[in-house]
Amino acid sequence: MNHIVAAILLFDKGARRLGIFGMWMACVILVFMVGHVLVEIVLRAALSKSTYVLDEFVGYGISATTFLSLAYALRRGVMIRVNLFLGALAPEGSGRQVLEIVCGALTACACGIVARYFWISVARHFERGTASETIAAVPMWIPEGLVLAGLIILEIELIAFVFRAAMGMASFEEDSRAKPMSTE
Amino acid sequence: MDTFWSSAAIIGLMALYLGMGVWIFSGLLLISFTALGLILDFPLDRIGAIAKGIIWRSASAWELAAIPMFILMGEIIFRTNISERLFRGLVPLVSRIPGGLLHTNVFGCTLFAAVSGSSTATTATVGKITVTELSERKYDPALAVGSLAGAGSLGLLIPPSILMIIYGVLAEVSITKLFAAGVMPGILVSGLYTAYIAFRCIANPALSPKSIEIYTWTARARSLLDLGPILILMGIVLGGIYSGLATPSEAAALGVAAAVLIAIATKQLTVATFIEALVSAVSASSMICSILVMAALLSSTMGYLHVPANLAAAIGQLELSPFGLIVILGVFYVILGLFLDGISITVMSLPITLPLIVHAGFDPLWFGVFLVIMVEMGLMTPPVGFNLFVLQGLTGQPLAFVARAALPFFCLMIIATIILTAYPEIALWLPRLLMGA
Repeated sequence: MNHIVAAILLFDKGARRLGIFGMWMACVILVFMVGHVLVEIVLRAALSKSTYVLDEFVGYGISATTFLSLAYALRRGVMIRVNLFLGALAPEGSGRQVLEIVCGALTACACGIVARYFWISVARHFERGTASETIAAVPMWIPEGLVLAGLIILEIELIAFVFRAAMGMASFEEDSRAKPMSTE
Repeated sequence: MDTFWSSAAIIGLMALYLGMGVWIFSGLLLISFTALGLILDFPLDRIGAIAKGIIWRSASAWELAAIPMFILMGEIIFRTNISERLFRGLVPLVSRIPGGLLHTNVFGCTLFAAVSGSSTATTATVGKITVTELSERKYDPALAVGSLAGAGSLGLLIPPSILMIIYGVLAEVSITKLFAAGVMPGILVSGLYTAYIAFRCIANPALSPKSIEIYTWTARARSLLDLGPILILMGIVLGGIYSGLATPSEAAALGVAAAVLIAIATKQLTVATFIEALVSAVSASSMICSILVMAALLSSTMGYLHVPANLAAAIGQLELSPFGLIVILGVFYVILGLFLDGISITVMSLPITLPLIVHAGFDPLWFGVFLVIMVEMGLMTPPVGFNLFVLQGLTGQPLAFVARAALPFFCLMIIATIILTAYPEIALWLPRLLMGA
C-alpha cells in the first residue's frame, strides 16, 4: 500500500514539475511575442520595413502560451469553474471527493481525445514535411507540436489531480504569483 | 431533432457539466463532444477532426495576442505605487466637488480603467488606498464602498477591455471599433455616479466631511505630475489605437514596454516583480484563451445543430419589438450574472443571442457595449459578484453590506443601459467619427 502511495506522490511531483516547465516555456514565448511586435513597430515606423511573419509567429506564440501553461493554471486554481454546487459540499467530505474525481476524469477524457487528434495531425505534418504557406515556410509540426506538448502536460496533471482527489489531498496549491488580478 | 429539443439539450448539458463544477474550458469541450456524439451521432473520428481544426484555428488567431499583453501591462502597473499616485493626484482636483474625496473612487477607477482591461484589477488598485483614506476621514462607509463597487466595474467598459477583446473575437467585430464604442458609455456611467454622489452629499452633508485642506492652483497643477504615468500609458495605448497607428495587439505590446519603463523610472521594477507579473499574466491568459478556444468549438457545434438560425427564426415569429427583445435579454443577462462570471456568460450566450440581435436589426458593435454593461452589473450582484468579493477582502465588511452599498450604483447602471438603448449613438458616434464605422 505504501509503495502505491509513494508512487502516486512521485507521479504528482513529476506532474507538478512538468506544469512549471510548461509555464516557464509560456513565459519565455510571451516575452518573445512582445519583443517581436515591438521590433515590427520599430521596423515599420523607422525603416518602412516588416518581418512579414508577425501575424503568423504571434499566432503560433499565443496558441503555445495558452496550452503550455494550462496545467500550471489548473494546479494553482486559476481556471474558473461554477462553484455553486461544489462549494456547498464540505471540502473534506466524500461527496466533494467523488465529484472532483468525476470532474478530473471527464476533463482528462475530453482533453485526451483532443490530444489524440493533435498527435495524428502533428505526425502527419512531420511525415509529409508540411510547411506554412508563408515567407517563413515553418514546418507545421513545430507550432502544433507545442500545443500537443501542452495538452500532454495537461493530461498528466489531470491524472495527478484525480489521484490527489482520490487520496483526499488538497486539490489546489496556493501561489501568490499565480493569482492574477486581471481575470474579470 | 427540432429547435426546441436541440436548444433544450444544449442548455441541459450546460447545466449538467458546469453545474457539477468542471472547469469552464472543459465544460464547453464536454458539451460539444456530447452534443456532436449523442445528438448528431457523429463518429469519434469526425468529432476529433472537427475539434482539432477549430481549436487550432481559433487558438492561433493573432487577435488573441492582445489578451496576455494587456494583462501583462496591467499586472506590471498593479505592482507599482499607482494607487498612491492616483489618490495623491486626484485629491486636489476633487476636494471642492460636493462629495469630496468620494469622487476619487469614480475618477480613479475611470482613469485606471483606461490602462487596465480588468474590472477586479481596477477595483483592487483604486480601493487599495481609497478604502483606508475615506474611512479615516469619516466618509459614509456605504457610499464609499458602493461607489467603488460601481466605478470598479468600469474596467470592462472603458478600453482596453479584455471582455471586449473576447466579444470582438467571438462576434467577429472590430476590436478597435469596440474600444472606441466603450468610451462614451463609460463616461456616461462615470458621470451618473459622480452626479449621484454629489446629489446625495448635498442632500445630506453628514455623508462627507467638509474638506479642511485648501489647494492652490499650483498644487492642483502639480498633482497632474502624480497622474503622469497613467496619462502617459493612456496616451500610448489609446492614442496608438485611435490614431490608427497601432492595432490593439500592437498597442498592448507598446503598453507593456511603457509599463516596464515607467516601473523602472519610478524604481519599482525588480526581476522578482517582473517574473510575478509574467507568471500571473500567463496563467490568466491561459484561462481566458482556453475558454475562448473551446467556446469557438461550442459555437460551431450549435451551428451543426442549427440552433442559432432556428432560434432566430422562432423568435422572429414571435414578432417581438426590438426594444422588447432587449428587455428580455437584459433580464436574462442579469439573472445569468447572479450565478456566472462575465467570461462564461459571454462565451456561452453569444452563439444564441448574437443571431437574435442581428436579426432584430441591432448593430453588433452596440450590442458589444450592451453586453459589457450587463456583465458589469453581474459583477455587483451576489452571490457571484467578483467586485463584491474584492471589496469584502479590502474592507472586511460582510458581503451583504457590500452588496447593499452597491445597489444604488447597480440601479444607475440600469438607467445608463436604458439611455444607451434609447440613444445608441452614444456608443456608435465615436467609432464612426474615428474609423468611419
